[in-house]
Amino acid sequence: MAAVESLAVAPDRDPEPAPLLAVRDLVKVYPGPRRGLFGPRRELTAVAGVSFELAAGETLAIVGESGCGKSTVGNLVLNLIEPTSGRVAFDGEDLSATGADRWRALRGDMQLIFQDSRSALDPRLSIGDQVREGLDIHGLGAPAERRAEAEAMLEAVGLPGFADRYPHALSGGQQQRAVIARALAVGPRLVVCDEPVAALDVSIQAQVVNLLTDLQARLGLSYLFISHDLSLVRHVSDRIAVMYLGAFVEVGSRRQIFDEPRHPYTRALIGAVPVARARREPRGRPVRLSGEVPSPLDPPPGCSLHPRCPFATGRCRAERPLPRRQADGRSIACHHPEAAA
Amino acid sequence: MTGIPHPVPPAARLLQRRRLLPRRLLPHGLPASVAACIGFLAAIAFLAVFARLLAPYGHEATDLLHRLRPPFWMDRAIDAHLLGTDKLGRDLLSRLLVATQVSMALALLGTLIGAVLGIALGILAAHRGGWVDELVMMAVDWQAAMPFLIIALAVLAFLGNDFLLFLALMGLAGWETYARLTRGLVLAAREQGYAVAVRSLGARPGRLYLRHILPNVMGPLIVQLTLNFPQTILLETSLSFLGLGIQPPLTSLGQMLGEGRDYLLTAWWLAVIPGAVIFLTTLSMSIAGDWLRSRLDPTQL
Amino acid sequence: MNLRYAAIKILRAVLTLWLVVTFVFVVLRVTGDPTEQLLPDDIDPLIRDYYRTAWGLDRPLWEQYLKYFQSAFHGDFGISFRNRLPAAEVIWQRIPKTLELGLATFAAALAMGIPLGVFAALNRDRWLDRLTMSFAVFGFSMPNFFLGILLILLFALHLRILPSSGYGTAAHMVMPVITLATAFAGSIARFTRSAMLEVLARDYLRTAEAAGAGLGRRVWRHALPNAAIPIVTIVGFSLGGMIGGAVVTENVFAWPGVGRLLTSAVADRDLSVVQGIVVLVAVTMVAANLAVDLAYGWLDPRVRVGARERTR
Repeated sequence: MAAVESLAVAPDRDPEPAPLLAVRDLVKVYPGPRRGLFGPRRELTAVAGVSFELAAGETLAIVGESGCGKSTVGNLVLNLIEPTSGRVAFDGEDLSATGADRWRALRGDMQLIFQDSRSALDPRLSIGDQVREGLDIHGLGAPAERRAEAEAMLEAVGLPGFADRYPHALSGGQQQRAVIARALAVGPRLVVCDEPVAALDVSIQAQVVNLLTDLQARLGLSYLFISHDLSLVRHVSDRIAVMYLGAFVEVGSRRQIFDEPRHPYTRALIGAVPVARARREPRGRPVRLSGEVPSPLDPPPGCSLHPRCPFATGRCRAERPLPRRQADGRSIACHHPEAAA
Repeated sequence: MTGIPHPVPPAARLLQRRRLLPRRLLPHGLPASVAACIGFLAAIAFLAVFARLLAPYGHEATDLLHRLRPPFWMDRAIDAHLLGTDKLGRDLLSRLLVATQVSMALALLGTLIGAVLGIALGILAAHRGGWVDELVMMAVDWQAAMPFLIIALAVLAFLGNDFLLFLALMGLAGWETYARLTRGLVLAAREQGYAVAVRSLGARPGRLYLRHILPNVMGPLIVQLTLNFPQTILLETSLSFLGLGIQPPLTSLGQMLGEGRDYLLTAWWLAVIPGAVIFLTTLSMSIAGDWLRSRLDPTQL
Repeated sequence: MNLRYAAIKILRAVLTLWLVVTFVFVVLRVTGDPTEQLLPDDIDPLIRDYYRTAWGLDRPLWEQYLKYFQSAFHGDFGISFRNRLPAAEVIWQRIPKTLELGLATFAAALAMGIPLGVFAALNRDRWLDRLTMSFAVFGFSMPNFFLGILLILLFALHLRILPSSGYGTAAHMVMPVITLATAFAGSIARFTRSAMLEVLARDYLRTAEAAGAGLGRRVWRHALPNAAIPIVTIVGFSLGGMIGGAVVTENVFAWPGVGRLLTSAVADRDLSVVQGIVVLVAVTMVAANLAVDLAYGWLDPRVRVGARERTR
């Protein structure tokens, strides 16, 4: 298996064992509508070459505005959508050429929690049946014990005794907890959380997020946390990847991204986050972006941010910047990262 | 034979109704007419099942001394048959019961075969997509393009009239409506959260479809069943009426009507009574099916 | 109308036709020697040999296939057992009678169904609406052979005002047309009703009402043209059922059309006639469906312009 280039290693850790998840140059292109009757098919590049690593027990957040492709990345990693190109390696195993059977077995190791908890539960089955479904599928534990396992899991997420209830009888927050219970019942090591609390009331969001971090500590999980909510992300992540129009523009530790953002887009995003209590002022002047996010069907040439970036130069218009590792361990895709400082 | 399709509600709207038969479907809100229809159907089902036990005479017992006797309300004699006798003196009531049994059994079996076949192909087309989908849809279009009665007649002409063949034709009569409907419903259901979730849990397709998707889309399929059932009855009775379906010594409602046709002037009851049974059965099923559908999707007219 | 759309529809039509003819070919070959199936037993051996070469029975299968297509294209389906005439000729003679019945039925069904549907839509949910809709349900649940027999019983045998069967005068047509048209009138009424209801609710009609346009004008000039599309669709769909219905109806009333020919041919196992009729029906259905598809493609853009305000 080819060695995967490590792109965002936190500088203050010892060289660690192989990462749990290693993604390289992941690309997803959708065929778009044709121009006219016989024109060439336009393409929608949802993910334009993304690379990152996730270590065991770590939480990597992917943030960006809606439509930037972050959910797609989550789905690609789990092979729920087929990648156009790129490599995904889980626990050292290259998954690009994996067949359906192996994927099914792997599902026990990687799970997904997504936003719409209401539709994520089968309305016709009880919560208990759904939580134990994963156990049935993978044949984990003796059949007689699975019910007890499911009930224990429900208790762990704060839904004791809910096994016989039906989804429609649960509140939004409770449904999401049930979804979490179902996902974790099979004992995965990697959990992709795709906007897990976006549909919940703000007061409930905190509870569910705390549950997630709590379970992470207890079960040693790794999270790929996808969200558009920066304040939330600040609370849960170890490292953060900022995404724009299908590519990572900056990847760094929590402190680096929030306290010392470098990429113009990151700076614009961070600048927009309301802080209740400013613990440390972000360094540098605030950045304002003009205009709106262009359509992914017609991305700008060169750096995709250049039409809106106040620091854009001729080079930015012509040449697409590749992510480059900086001295402090973060990676930035920009021709002039020092300009914003 | 009437082969007119009903307007089918779009799949997405139907998916919001998840239960198999919503609890509020029952008792209150059941119009009297629909209740009457359901009652009638239950009665027919009962009579069909217990036909041979209930028949006062053997359905083949001929009695040439009492040919073409009218039903009891027209016949003054003491030994009047309840519904009269036919050209060979056979008791009409007994024949009617057995004929009902045969017709209903054929219609039921045919509908079920068609449903299973159609649903399976619909799932296959939705699951595999690509050329498999194209192929199935082409078959569906092909079947829908030709009036099935003509196809059935042609097959019977070429291959002779065998009971099993006839049953197979009943089965093939409506599969395309199930296939098309199932395919649409499954395609929509697959994108629902729970389908994605179960797939991401690692479930095999079989488990996904049989345990999760199919139960959730059953509603419209059952409605389709109630709409197809009368069509199957009409197909069988039409063919038997023409003398090309059920052959003697077996009897069916259509066949009785066909036989009775020659005696319209002298013994009209021989044709009218079986015909009335056919009509009332299909009517009841249509009304009940319509009502069922309106309950499942009240926005549809 | 989109050229691409038309091309695809035409291609599918041709493909369907090809499939039907292939299907018949396969069934024929599977069930025996065509010269025995498609020619009378006591035919002159010379004629039999002629057909043997014409259909290429001593040649490989794929050649037979091509020759079969060739024959079918030329309308050569063999010789009818019954009357020693080419099957095509026998069928051809009957077509006008069935057309007569079909067109009259069509007209009657539309004349009955559309006004009924409009009427029901205008009186929505009142008892008139329910009555007309019940009539519609009755219409398509009633087995056409039963209706026919009841009509004969009543009008021919008891009241004696109409002939019970046969062909000849306008009186002969009354009952067959009523029998065949009833089921479709019902369906057309339902569709017309729902189409009209949708259209009646639209804003531009209320605007017309506010402007003072009378009910008649609103129905005729605004509502009906837009309801035309679903009506065209249902008419297209009905054709198949009507053909099936014609087979039975012609039989009940001894109407000398193609349907009656089919049933007697099936009973006699006169396969040459049967296959000829199957191909004829296929051609008719495919042509009709194609016409509906193309009409749809033409009518649709006109409606969509109006619909845009409503659907988004």
